[in-house]
Amino acid sequence: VNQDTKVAVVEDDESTRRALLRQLRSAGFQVVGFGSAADFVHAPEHTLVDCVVVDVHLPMMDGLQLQAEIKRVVPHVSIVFITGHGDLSVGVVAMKQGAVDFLEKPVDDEVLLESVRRGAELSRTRRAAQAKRVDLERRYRLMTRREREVFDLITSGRLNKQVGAELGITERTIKTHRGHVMEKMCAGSLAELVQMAAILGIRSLSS
Amino acid sequence: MPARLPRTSINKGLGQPRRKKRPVTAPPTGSKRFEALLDEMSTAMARAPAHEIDGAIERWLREIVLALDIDRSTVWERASADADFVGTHWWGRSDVPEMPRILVGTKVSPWATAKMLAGEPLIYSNPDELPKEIEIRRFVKAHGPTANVTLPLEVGGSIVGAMSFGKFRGPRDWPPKVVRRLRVVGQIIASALDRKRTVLQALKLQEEVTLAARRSTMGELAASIAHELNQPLGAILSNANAIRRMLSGDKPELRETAAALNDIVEDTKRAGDIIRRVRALFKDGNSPKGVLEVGALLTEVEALLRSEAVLRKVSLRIEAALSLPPVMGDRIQLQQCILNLVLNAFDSIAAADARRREVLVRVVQEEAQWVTVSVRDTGRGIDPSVLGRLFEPFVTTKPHGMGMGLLVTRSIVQGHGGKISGQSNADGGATFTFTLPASRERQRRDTAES
Repeated sequence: VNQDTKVAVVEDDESTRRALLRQLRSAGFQVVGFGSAADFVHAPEHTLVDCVVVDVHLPMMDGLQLQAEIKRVVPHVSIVFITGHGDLSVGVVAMKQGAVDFLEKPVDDEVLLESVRRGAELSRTRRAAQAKRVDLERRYRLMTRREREVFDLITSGRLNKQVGAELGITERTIKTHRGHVMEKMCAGSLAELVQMAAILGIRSLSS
Repeated sequence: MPARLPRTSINKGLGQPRRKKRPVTAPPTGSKRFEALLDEMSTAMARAPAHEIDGAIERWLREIVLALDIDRSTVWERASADADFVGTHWWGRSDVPEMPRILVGTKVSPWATAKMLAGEPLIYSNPDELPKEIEIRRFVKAHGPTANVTLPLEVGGSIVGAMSFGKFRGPRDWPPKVVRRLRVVGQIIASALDRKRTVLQALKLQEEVTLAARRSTMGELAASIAHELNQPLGAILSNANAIRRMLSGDKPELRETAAALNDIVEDTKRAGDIIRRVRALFKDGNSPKGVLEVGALLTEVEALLRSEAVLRKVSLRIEAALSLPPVMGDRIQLQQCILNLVLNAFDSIAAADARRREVLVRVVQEEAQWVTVSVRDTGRGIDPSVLGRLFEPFVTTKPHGMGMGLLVTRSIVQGHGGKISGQSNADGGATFTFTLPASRERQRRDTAES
């Protein structure tokens, strides 16, 4: 499983970085190392990474700042923090902002590998969800304005009759629009359509 | 408390080159000559630096013994008001009996000790005049003079020691005129010992303050030092785990394993270096002065401060001019100075919550004979209310500051023959600058590391 997982290590201490890369590589991960937060952010491969192992105390842009930047630019990427200080307060902030783990150096081997695996898994899930969302948005845009109105209303629980009344068109026409909606959104059932609406974050027009 | 006698013992004086062309083999006989000798001794003792007083005393004991045509003279000291007399200096002709290595007043004679404490002289022309006390009879029989004068040494109303003048083989009379001269000798010695004690106490106190300041600095740095140690330890653990896995696979990656082992060796050394540096700063007292390269000194300080700078989000820059002359100094003390100033700079930046967070340490040469170290920060500058009193004790603007750091720093700088000053920068922050005299000695390559 590890072979398909790409892990980045952001650590300014050269020897520590080399050691972490070696440790992760020996466990089968694909690895890439960066000496600073800026190096990571500017590297083209940062979008392909599944998990980033970050030293909290980096010069210039520190670990928490990098976390904010990652959230902004590549939100699916998960972060495992490591620290040489027992700085609990930083750890609390990092975890609240969605870090997978906050580990103290020297880090236990199995704990690190487990965290990275968990982080990578999370990233993959997030990436899949994101891909799905992008796809849904693309399909949503394929619909006409009227079809979108119908989509919005039926996914917020209205019956065809109610939708027709609200939009001022016949129930029969609604049925036709509804067929197009199901087709364009590739939905097999109303339940599926409702789920898609939730992902797209579309709120009922009447609420 | 028995004390070990200094190595410079009985016969050393004979082997030493004569200081002056004074005819010591033919002792001065007239009282005028002896007065002249006392004058010279008094001047020499008063001029001797504190750390040379012991040597000077032993040299002059020899002169006195020869001038008075006696055989041995001994100085006894008491470490405190309730301590015993302990023999600390003496000189004797080569043919007088060896003295015990450790001389303790009450062991030699409780009776004589009591006499000294009462401020009375002990004078005898032959052993028969001694009381029947076992100890003193035994001592005189084994090592002792057949005629002797022992005088209490008094400083400011308390008995700080005693001084003995002994004649061996045969009786000798001690006319009041001679005893008066011996008293003068005793006074000169007593005041020299007093001066030595005062200076040593002051030095010791200063050393204690310096050490306390150093320890508190290191206390401040404790978190950074732990972090600094955790780096190599973490790397070692990671490498070891990697090696374990690499060797357990089907085809062990030997080249990578070797590389990992090399890194482990390097990181172990690195951890050792950190511990050595820290231990050096915690060490009691001071390291001996030697020829130092300030650039190398700064590199070591930077290593101690690197983590602290990252933790405090301060960019710490070190700029050392090329080809700086070496300085003569105590490496640990000078490190302490730079540490103090840089940590102050960090504190000032933290207090100002400054947006620009920079500390620049520069070393340059000025006017051939000075090496100047400056620490410039972007903190809040020097509070005008303390500007004139920066280096006074207990002056601080830090919430938990002791107000000793700059005082200690200045005393170290002054102890090295330099000067220190501090001022606010026109563009914010402060700069502290100290100078050290450039050493004329050529630097030996190993001194910075020794």
